[in-house]
Amino acid sequence: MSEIDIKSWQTETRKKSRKQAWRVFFGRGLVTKLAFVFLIVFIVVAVFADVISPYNPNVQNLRLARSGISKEHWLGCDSLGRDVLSRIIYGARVSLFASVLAGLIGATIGLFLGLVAGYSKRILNTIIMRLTDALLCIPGMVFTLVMTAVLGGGLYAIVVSIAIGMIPTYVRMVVGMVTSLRENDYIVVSQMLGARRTWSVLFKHLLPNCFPSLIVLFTMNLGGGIMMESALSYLGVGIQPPTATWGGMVSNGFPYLTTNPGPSIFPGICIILVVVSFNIVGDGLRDALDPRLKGKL
Amino acid sequence: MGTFIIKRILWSILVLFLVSIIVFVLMQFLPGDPVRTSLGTDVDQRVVDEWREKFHLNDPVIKQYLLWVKNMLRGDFGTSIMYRHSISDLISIKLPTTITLGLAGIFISTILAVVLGVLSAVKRGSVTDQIVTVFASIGLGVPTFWIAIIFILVFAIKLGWFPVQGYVAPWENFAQFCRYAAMPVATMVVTMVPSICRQTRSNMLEVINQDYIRTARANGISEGKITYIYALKNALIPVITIIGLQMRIVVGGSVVVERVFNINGVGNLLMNGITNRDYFLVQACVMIISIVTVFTNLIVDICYGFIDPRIRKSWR
Amino acid sequence: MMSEVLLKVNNLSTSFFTSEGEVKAVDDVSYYVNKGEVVAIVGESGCGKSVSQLSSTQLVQTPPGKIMSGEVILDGRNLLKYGRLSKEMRAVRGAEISEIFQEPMTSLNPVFTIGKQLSDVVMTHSKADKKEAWKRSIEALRTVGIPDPESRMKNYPFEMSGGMRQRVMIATAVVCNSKLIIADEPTTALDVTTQAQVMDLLISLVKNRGLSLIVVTHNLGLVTRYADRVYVMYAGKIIESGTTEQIMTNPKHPYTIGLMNSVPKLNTSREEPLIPIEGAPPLLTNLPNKCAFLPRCTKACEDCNKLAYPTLRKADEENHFVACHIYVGGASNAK
Repeated sequence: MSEIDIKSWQTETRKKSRKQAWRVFFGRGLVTKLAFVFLIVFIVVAVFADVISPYNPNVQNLRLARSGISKEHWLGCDSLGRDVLSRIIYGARVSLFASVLAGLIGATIGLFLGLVAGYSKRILNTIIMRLTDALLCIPGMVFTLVMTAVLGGGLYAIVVSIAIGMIPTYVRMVVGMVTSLRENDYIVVSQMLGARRTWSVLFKHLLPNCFPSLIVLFTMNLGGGIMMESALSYLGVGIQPPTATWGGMVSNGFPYLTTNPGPSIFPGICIILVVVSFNIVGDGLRDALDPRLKGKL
Repeated sequence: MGTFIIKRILWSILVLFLVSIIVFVLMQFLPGDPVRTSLGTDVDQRVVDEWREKFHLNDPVIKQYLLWVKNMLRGDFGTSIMYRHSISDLISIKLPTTITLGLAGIFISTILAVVLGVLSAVKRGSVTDQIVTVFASIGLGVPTFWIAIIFILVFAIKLGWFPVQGYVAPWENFAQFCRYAAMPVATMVVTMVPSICRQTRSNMLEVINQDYIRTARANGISEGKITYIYALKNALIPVITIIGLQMRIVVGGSVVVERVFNINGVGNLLMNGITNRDYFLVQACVMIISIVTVFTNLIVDICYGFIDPRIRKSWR
Repeated sequence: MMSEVLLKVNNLSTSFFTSEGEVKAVDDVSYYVNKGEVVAIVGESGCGKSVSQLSSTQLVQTPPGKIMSGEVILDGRNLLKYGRLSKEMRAVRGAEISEIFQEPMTSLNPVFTIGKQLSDVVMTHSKADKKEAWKRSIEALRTVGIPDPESRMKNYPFEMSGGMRQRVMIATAVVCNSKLIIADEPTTALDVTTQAQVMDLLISLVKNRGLSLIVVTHNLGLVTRYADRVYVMYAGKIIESGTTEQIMTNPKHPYTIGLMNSVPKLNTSREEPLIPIEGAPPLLTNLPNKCAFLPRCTKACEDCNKLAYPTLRKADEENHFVACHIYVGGASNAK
């Protein structure tokens, strides 16, 4: 086979497997499709909050305080008369932003550390792995809380803390993949053929093989990130009022549970829907991209 | 077996040292001056200096760290600036609460999750299986603080079955303990059951299709025995890891649960410490929590050996 | 010599219902086994030989499998009339008909001692208590030639070699004095020396205890050496049957002929190429009602294309049957 044939055969195979992946993903049934659509809606709502939201989330209208569902206010108002639906929409933006940013940072650093740990000599590997183990002994919530306080609180403190909390999972996964891939014959062969530097082997061979699992893990972690952000907002360590956050809304609504439970209930329902959708889509991606992982992630 | 246990214990100690370093380093960066925060702003500088001396806050960092570790090994976790009390005392009062609730939560969750997981695996595809799977999937996305509040709304406020907040220790009054602990434990159960259930189900499904199950059937062994003895023992092995992981989640989640239900446990203590910049308290709490987690993992690993004979033999 | 029929299977059909449709894994299969006889069932992977044996004791995974029709007569009872999980069916499994499988490495439960696994079988099929069951199990281990059986009882499967595990499997078949042992590829996963030992053990059990043995295999050497009679299966059906000698020396069906030809013989020179059967076995979904071997048959006649599936008819000799259009009315019409 000449050079040109191999290249076109490679692109053909890649195209075919991509089509196959789409087919598997959407062939999984109604639920996956629904979850996917819901996530798209979620992202659109979050990004275009300014346009979609019926009211300004911070405008107080004490006359309407603690009112229930009505035609003007589809989900009612909270204790300060702010429209719950609008606050939920803006809260979506906070959650999405926090979890995506945290996910990206965590994934990047985790990937880098994982590659380094997996590919380097004993000492560096041991240090990174032991630190990862130690980090995993501190419960996620506890660590993120402390980290957020250390960083002074606020949105970016939360993002960084959640990101750091995600790093161990990425490191472990990448190290696992690198270790098993390193033993593969084609890596050894390419090194024998004189692959110029370690990094070229890493980028051309190891990295592409990690991507499917990485994407799946990233999607699952987005859900986890939202859970964490909302819990931190509930505890009041993160984003300060009056910014609308889902966790914060639940916390603020607690004293008025008997008369006006809406502001506490609705954000929680949103959290459930979004996180579950991320999980379902993550499952679908896993089956489509790497069925070998079934049941393990 | 002995060598393995010793090795694991040594490893646990190493990890705890690393944790202590991480925690201590983090605490150095906590913004705000602990002394000022607890003493108030218009206090004489001399008093502030006195306190700083008393708590060794002017010493070099490494000396502070070593002092802290030395004290911890003697059981002295320092003094809380905020409460002006020995932290060890504070913790010894509050730790039993957190652990009791945590154990109750893990115990009930495990039983419920394993039963549901096995049922849905054995009756794969049936209505039972579908219901369980759907609830487990939804359950993974339920925030702890939210379900706690829903429980309060429904069971305490609307139905009046349980008190809204508070806690009574089981050894003081068991009946009252049940009343007060019902909702916090239920919250933990909702949070933990989905993942254990899914793991059990997927392991059972894998095990049921194994050759040795077919052999047992070919020898006429009854389905009940096959499911609950032959298959389950194999399927439970990975589940034990998950249960070990739950400890980490439970203790972490205790921060939220104790806050919602206003329970005096270590989680609440930690939260107060953070809010008040009492970094001795925070340091100590995080260390205690990590020690509990590491200890649990150690126990889980040893349990592994008792259940899986292959691992037991490889320990020798 | 009049032999008594132990097991008679009539018109057994088993299908699997998959997303691609109904797979007729076993289609209208009939065979029998006499007491003290060794019967071989031969064929390629996927021809239905394993499924037919699983079906006889209703061990097929249902769903997606289902026994569609047929009778399995053991001692005058039709086993298929019993519920799949019923007490009666379970009483047969392990005590009257025992099956041993191909993979000794995975066929024993890794977390229980073999003593426990054997005793459980005894206690399931008799009123023996634990002690009695333990004793009987030790005897069974001795029968299959495992040295020092008392201490072996406390071993776990991973502490034994493949050959030893296969012997333990045979012990489970023997511990309750089964009348029939079905061995599904008993030697495929073993090395050659162990293969011989295991087969010799099985044959000695047949001779000494009057057991019957069905061996499912694709190893023709095994068949030639040990079997009294042979059934050849293809695409879910039996296409030829007869005594071992008849099948080996006078195969009639083009498939059987191809099988015999493809086995390299000791006196073949090195330069001669192996003679495979061209093509691949058909997918078992939506098979047309014609001879399934037609696409690969080198001896096909024009009629073969037009006629429906051939039924088993007597070939020239006594007890030798073949399902092929070439042999109509006993006379050979081969081109």
